[in-house]
Amino acid sequence: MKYISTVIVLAFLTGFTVNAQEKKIKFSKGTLKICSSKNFVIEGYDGKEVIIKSIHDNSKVLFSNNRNGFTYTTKGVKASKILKGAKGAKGSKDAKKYEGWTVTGAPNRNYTIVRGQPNNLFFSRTDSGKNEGLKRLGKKQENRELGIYFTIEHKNGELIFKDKTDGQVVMFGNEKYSIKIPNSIKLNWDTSGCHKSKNNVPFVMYTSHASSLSNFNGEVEISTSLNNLKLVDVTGPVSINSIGGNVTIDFNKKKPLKLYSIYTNNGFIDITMPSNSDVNVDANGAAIYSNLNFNVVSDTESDGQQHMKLKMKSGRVKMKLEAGFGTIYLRKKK
Amino acid sequence: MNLKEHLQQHRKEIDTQEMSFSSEAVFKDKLQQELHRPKKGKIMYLQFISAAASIVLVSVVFFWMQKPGASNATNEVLAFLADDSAGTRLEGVYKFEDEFEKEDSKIINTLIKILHDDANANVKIATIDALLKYPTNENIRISLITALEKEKTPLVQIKIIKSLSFLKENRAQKPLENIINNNRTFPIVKSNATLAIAQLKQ
Repeated sequence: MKYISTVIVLAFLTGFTVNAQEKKIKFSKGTLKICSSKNFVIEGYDGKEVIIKSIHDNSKVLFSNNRNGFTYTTKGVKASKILKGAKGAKGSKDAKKYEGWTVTGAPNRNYTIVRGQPNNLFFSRTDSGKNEGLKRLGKKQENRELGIYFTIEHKNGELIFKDKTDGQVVMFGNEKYSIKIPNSIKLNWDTSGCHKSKNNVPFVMYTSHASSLSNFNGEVEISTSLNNLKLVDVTGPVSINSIGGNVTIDFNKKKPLKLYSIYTNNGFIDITMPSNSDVNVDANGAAIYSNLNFNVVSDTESDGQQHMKLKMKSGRVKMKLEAGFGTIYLRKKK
Repeated sequence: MNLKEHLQQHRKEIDTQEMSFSSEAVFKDKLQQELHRPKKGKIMYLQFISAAASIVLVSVVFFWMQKPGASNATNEVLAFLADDSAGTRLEGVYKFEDEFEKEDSKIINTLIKILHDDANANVKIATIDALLKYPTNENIRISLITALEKEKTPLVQIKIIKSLSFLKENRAQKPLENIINNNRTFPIVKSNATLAIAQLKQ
């Protein structure tokens, strides 16, 4: 028990130290393409670097599984405990072989058993405390040391962040990243991993936590399946599409300045904006609620859908909101 | 002395055909001046006609350019649709949907290309809404069926399925069945395809 507590404390301290570090990439022109279902908190700023910081506990990262296998995690876990939890592996030759061993491998490695057979399952007796105060060498190891578990690629004017899950499916994860991006770039964010043929994988990738983007003035394109999104003070142009994710847009200190285009199949669209916003809203949804003083240009209903064209001031900025079976909320900023 | 005064002064000699040689020479000179006087009035008349014609021509061109769907507005929308920014392309699609009444073949052909090839799902969905303004256009109906066969993005697939159901396009039944039978299709897309087939068979 004492040993486990020591391991947990050490892992926590290691994670904390690593998390305090940031990765900075010079990038002030072009497109940042995020092909990841992980949880991101993105903020715009007037700078020339993309700054990534992992804000998860690096020692407790859950990793992806093969859909026929199981997910194992964290350092310091008894191999017998893992194998006990693995369907088909319990009582197997391998379970006996590794009994009493402790997982000490790199935390981003997948420990997977497919159909009860050990596959890519590694244990070792290495003392994890031996590397204390040292840094793992090698360029490819740099991101792991910083707690960053996605690939970073720079090509053709694009900076690309991509999940390392080719051929595997992420069902959930506790990874969370804070990213600062220059206002001068364009953001293209696809939580389905930027697959060209999106229905090649019949599983939906999502995280239960809402990802967010705030204080950004550049162009934004977001595509999600079920991920919830929150945008705060993002002036546009913005295009968002989602099957079932909810989209929340808040204008606290800014107003919409350029086009907003949001399409969901059944997620809600909830927008809070100042009462003096200069907008022209074209909204379709199961229901539309508002406490803003709109000039109603048109109001029709068909097939259980409300279709409304609403205007405030001269209607300079177009907002196309289509929520499908979802509801649209248009709120006045208090 | 002008020609008139010269004639009055020599009326007698002229009537009696006794006009002197010198008088005849003066008469010829006066007559020459009178016949070849610069025609100021005629030139001014022609200038007026030209100016009026120019004004009419400029006015016609101006009103022709102001007419919705005419080349200037068309070119503006086409420029928007060709932009690298998805936001600008969307503005082009919404502008066409909101401001154009008559079919514009150049824009419709560009929108059909966007329906098949654009990388942004919002642009494709907005394009489908814009194309649905012309439900009798056979080119648009065929393009929607072709797009359904090729499209992989679930939200766009759902939009095309709903559109073909709205158009009561029976030729879409086969591609709809293919979608339902494809085990890689998202469940929500299959549900929409099943509903659409049921509606088409009604």
